[in-house]
Amino acid sequence: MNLQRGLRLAQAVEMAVAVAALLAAAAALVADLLGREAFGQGIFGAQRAAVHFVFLAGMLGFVLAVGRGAHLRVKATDALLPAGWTPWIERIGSVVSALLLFALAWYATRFTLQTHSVGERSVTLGVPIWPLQAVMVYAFASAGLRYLAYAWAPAARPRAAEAP
Amino acid sequence: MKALLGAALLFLLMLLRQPLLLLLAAGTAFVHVVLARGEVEYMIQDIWSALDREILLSIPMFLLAGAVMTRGTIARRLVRIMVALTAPIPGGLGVATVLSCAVFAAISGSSIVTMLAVGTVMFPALLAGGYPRAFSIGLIGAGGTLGIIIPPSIPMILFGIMTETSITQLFIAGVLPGLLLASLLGLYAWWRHRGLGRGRWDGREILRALRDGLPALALPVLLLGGIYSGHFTPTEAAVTALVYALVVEGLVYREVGVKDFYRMVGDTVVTLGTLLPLVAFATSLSVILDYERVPQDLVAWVQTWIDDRASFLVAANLLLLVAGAFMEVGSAIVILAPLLMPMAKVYGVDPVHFGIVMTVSLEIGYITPPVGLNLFVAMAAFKAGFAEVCRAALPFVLVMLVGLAIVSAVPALSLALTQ
Repeated sequence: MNLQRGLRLAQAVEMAVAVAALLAAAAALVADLLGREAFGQGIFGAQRAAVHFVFLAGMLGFVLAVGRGAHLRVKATDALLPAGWTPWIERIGSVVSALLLFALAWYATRFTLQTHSVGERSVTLGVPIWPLQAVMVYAFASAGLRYLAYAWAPAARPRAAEAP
Repeated sequence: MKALLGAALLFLLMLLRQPLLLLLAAGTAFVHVVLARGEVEYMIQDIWSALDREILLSIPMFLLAGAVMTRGTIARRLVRIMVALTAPIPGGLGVATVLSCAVFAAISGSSIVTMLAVGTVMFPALLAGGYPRAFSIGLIGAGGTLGIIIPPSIPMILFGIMTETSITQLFIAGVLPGLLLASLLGLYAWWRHRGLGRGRWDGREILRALRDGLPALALPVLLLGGIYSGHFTPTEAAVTALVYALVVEGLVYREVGVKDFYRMVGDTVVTLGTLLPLVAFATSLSVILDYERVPQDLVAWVQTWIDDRASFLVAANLLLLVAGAFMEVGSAIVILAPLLMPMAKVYGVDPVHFGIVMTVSLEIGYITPPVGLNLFVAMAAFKAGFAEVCRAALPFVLVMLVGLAIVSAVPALSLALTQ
């Protein structure tokens, strides 16, 4: 029960940050468009900032989609194994998903550290880009942990995942 | 041998019920490391580069605008206008359903949004008007697919991103094929039920419906006019659609509150989270396959079997129809478009025309079993069984295949407005 409460809390925080990021992107684009239409000049860096906000929203959305079971899955092979094996296949599948995501998180960490070490910055905004790239690390790791939780407690797995 | 090993690995992952995204990630990593002798880090670098682009901005904005319009009353008002205008036509409600879908498609970039927005209003009305249940389900499912061919269209944006084709040109090119498909569906609806529900024009009702729905009706005019005149880029059109939808639903009709809006943005974030990583991994796969000259080898292989443009289009359509029956449209486009486009160019198919052919072909997949998304949404929305919705969709699949044949054979239909 605590595990499910923890997942719900994490999901609520991730949702709040993702919603704020998407709204910030929309606000930047609206301001840019209004500036261009009304004053003949857009807002410097607005589109770049929107790209970064959408990246943040999209990566957190990736984790949230795991939590809602919204990721698409090919179901054509489901019938190839006996139906009685389903609970174990789902558990093993969750572990495999977690391992794949942890591997992605590991390589994303190496990539982010490399960017950090060379001091790469956003060309338009001049800000360091490694904190944004670190969102990839968080997203893959958080999604991996979620799958581990589903392997540990299958009841926590969202049933919506079985939609088309 | 290595390719067989990769295929076996993917099959094993499918047996273990992995999400499509992780299958794509594992497959792409395998190509990077085993076939191209590179490193997984290159894939991460590709993911970052793919998502760090302004061209993606229109996707979340159109998704958000669609979410606002689905929850609000724009669809209901558009339907009222279409019902009033088609009252004297035999089978008018069926025609009104198709017209409503076509007009709503011009403000939404998604098939499911169009189907749900119009379907929830029209399904009970069709049943009350004496239209058979199966026909009503099939008509709404098929009408919903117009959402991705009549611009704006999220699959067209994805096609433009993956193949570096002008999204504006794709939008403009989609107008006439979209109208052709709407006409075919409307004609079929009229022909099937030409003895049903003949009414007469009620001038007062038409005026009331127009007055009530004018702000909703103005949006497609504004969007299509802006895109067609070149005044809007796709991102600007998406931002305009969002602002307009918020103003109309929030301030004019007062149908969307702050809590509703938070839920809508949340749903959009989740949809975005399924779509953007897919684009990112597919881009990485496309980059590494291109580096390994796989598309070029594929073109050379296909040329030994197919030697003219018409045969290529028939083969490509068959492949896309099968792909559409098994894959979601966005996934199919991000994976297949970069592979098929070099072949289309070799056979002299215009990239914009090919984008439209691909969209129409995959559009049919929305109502084709086993994974037609509209079929599943129809099951949930209209409380129907899978066999029932499949049977209901079949005649409409045939009608749309006629449309696909015309769109494929007549490039001018797609390209006339772009020149």
